[in-house]
Amino acid sequence: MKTEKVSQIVGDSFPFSERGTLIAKQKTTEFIDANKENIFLYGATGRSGVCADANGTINLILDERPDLRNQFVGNIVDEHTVIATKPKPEGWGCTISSHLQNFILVYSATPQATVKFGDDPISDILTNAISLCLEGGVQTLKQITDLLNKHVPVVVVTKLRELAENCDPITKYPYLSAADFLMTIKKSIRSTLSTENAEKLVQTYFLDHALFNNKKGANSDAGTKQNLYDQFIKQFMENRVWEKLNFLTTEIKSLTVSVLNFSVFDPSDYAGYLTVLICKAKIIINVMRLK
Amino acid sequence: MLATATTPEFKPSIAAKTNTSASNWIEKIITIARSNFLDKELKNTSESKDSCSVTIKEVGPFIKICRIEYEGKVYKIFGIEKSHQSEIDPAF
Repeated sequence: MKTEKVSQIVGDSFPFSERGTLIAKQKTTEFIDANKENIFLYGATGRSGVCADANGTINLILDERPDLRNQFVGNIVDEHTVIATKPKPEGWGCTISSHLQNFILVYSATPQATVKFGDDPISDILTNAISLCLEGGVQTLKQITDLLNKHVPVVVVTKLRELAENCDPITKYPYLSAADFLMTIKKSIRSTLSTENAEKLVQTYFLDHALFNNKKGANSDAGTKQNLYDQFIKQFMENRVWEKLNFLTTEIKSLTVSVLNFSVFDPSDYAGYLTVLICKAKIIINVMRLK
Repeated sequence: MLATATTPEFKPSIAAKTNTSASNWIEKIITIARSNFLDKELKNTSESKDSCSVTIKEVGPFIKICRIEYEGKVYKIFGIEKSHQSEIDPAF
């Protein structure tokens, strides 16, 4: 991976609406074409078809454009990938594009394969370039927070879900969308924000959004989601991630401008400061070359 | 005759059956790669029974790459043991 720009594409593992799938496919294609030099990491297993999830959307694109296969690396794990790709009811009925030929396999050093989805943060460690987030739940939110914390720009896409299928059956509140959550926080920030006010903004979001299915309660994956959320909020507060939301945008093409337009910036954050200086220097050099 | 054969402009819609496939090939690839990653001695093998050729090498601390030729395709699998993920140098 020496000198490579490594991007990541993350998002929902529940299928988008039919219209949402078309939008996701279009936005993802634009993102790939706008970053032609990059390597793209993504979770290889997904649900494809009329209604696809985030990984399934990429598989659809690879099926239509197999020439892109050398730019894509699929994340796989030794236990869950095998189960996920088996047909139902034995497995979960997920698929992988047959054109995908590059993988990162996270494996267990035990006789039995035990690595599950979510046990493979290696993709977040390797990501160093602009990434794409298609909605996304709490696990995605944690991933995006990790990337923003490293000053990796992230493009977010929302309004891909079928709302009737993505709300809590009891409260009727829509489920958390990582993309929507972070954009809402970003839009709410008018000036420098204190920790207390940042916490209030987060609480306000969850006044009309659900983290998990309250009807299923303790028998579902609510515990896992709550645990992931607790990890996220700890990191969000401790690292003052709201001050890095200038690295977040909905526009694929205008990202460079967005990234450089710092309105909230922590002067003690030397790494971020250096990144901005280097970006600005590169732009100035390119402009001078054009002249 | 299929519609695709009579209509040159036909492009499969999103609803069309895709080339995505089920578990057998990925399970095979994971099984081969995993057993090679776990093998302490890096041995390049050629298994004529499964028409499969495997080349493996270490490309950095805690990271190996396995090249598998299987059913006419070449797969490249980077292998990282779960407990060593945080020790990987992103510039490997």
